[in-house]
Amino acid sequence: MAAIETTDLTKRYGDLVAVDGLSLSVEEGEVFGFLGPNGAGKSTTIDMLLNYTPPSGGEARVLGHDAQSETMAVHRRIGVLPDDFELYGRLSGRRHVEFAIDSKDADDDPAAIIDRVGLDPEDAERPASEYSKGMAKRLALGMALVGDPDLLILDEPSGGLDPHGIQEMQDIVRTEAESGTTVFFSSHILGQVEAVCDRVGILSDGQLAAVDTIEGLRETAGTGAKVTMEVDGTPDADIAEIDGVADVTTDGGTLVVSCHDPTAKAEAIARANGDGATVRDVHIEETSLEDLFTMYTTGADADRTGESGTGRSDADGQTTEQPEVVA
Amino acid sequence: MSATLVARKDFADAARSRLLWGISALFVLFIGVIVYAAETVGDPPSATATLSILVVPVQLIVPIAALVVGYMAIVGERRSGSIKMLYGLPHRRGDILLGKLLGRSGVMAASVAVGFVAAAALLLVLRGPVDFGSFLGFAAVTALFAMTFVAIAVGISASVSTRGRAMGLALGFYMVFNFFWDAIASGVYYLINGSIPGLEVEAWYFLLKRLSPIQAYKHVASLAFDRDVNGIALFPAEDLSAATGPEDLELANRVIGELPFYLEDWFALVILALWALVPVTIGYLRFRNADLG
Repeated sequence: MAAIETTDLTKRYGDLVAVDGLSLSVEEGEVFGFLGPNGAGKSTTIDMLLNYTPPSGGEARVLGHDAQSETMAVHRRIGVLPDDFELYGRLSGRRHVEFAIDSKDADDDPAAIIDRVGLDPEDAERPASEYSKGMAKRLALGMALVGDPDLLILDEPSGGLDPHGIQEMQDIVRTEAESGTTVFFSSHILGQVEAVCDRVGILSDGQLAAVDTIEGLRETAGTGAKVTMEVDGTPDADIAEIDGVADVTTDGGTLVVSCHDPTAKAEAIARANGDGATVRDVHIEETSLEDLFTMYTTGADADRTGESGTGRSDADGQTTEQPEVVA
Repeated sequence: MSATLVARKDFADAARSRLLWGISALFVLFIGVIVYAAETVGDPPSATATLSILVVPVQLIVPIAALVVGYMAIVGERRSGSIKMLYGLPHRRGDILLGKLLGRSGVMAASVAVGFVAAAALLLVLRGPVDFGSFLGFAAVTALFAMTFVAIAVGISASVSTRGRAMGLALGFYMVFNFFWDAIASGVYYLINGSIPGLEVEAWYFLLKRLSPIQAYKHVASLAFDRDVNGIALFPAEDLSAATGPEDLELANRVIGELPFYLEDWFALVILALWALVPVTIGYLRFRNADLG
């Protein structure tokens, strides 16, 4: 059974489509990174999984229960760390944890929870209004851990945390995952997902742009490259038209060609060095996971997927031309 | 179970609010001034009669205090986002609403209790003991009145998605029912009959007037004192020039025909109960499907 299963999940606000026909499956026991820039629809998706927000269409099932009609069955077995939240300013941190324990009818020791998320026991006695954003995040994470949930939903958990806090949060995620807890965790920063996630889904404009393991994404990224050329003059040939080229930018004498097909590099250099311009220097950079994420979540992404389907065989045929590289 | 947990947490949170203590202090101060003022007039009334004068300041202060205590109960959590944490825990929306209602009702009941203990102490020092039955009854109906307004406020709070709307509705409710209700009732009468109400009027007009929870409270307080007490004057647009003496103005003499059951004082309890139930039910129906994202 999938821990999270959405089918064609959609949320519209008037004309704006925040989440657009999302079909996603998160397996039990996996750590799933839900990645995307701010405004991509991550929080809206989580809001629908938790029944904070009713969907405009489609369905969400969490731990086998319908998110909308069986909300309590879901909420009893999950831990939630919301993105944007405030604490009850007049109540102590400890009181917050006790409230979560009572609410979930759990038998956790508040002190142990507070210790686990790295909150100072003395701070736990202070009213929550005095907490920094990082402390509030730790406390909320502690409340999410109460009752040993089967699924942890963490919305931008690293926001407001210092590097040390992020490290600790990742350790907690790993420990939870080792004990069999499914972790669904959203972020707009790839690096934080990369470190802990088994699989990653990349959301862009409310749609799932890619779902893959980190390894798989790395392989995809490995086939791409960025070719930076120093040229004098302006090449007449249309480099952007080459199959396998995602993007071309010119800045004075510098020409940057992003390729997602390895065979396109040579053709790009060859064309740049044709009539009207001479290539003075070439620098080739392999696409990083970060670049790939940017490609998936920006306008270049649309061009890329649009061309890649037909590009391969043509590009293969053209690589026989030997590029003349002037060092 | 779930609702009582929310209620306890909410009470603990609200009880630490300076606003609440400010309201309690204001209430005690008002009572002190009234009791003291009644004491210094030429022919001081009995301790129990002095107590009954408190109906007027209660009508003015308790509703606004209860609205202030309750209007942010739900919408405040929605604006701050703390509702995401609260509802992320296994509490139904109905339990959250009920818990809030109980928690804030507890807060107002505590404030009223503090005010009444202060009033009793002051009266005891200045005038001797009050009639214990009247005192208890008056305190009980006032607590009920306060909780009714908490229910109205929580109902408003659950119905809207912004603080501004909640505040506008709460303030509007207070203004309409505390200052304009009788004028509105006269206006309705005028629209139907083409003239403003005279000395003798159909019974429904008087019912309309006491549909205001603030007027209903006056009649409920009359029950506690076992005699008619004075409430705030609302200046209805009525032509009473035909009256020859105060007895002409008594309700039984103004109603055309028999005094119907719904104009007896006990029926005001039913009116208060409706106010305690209807707005919060509407609030629940709206909150049940609200977008909390």
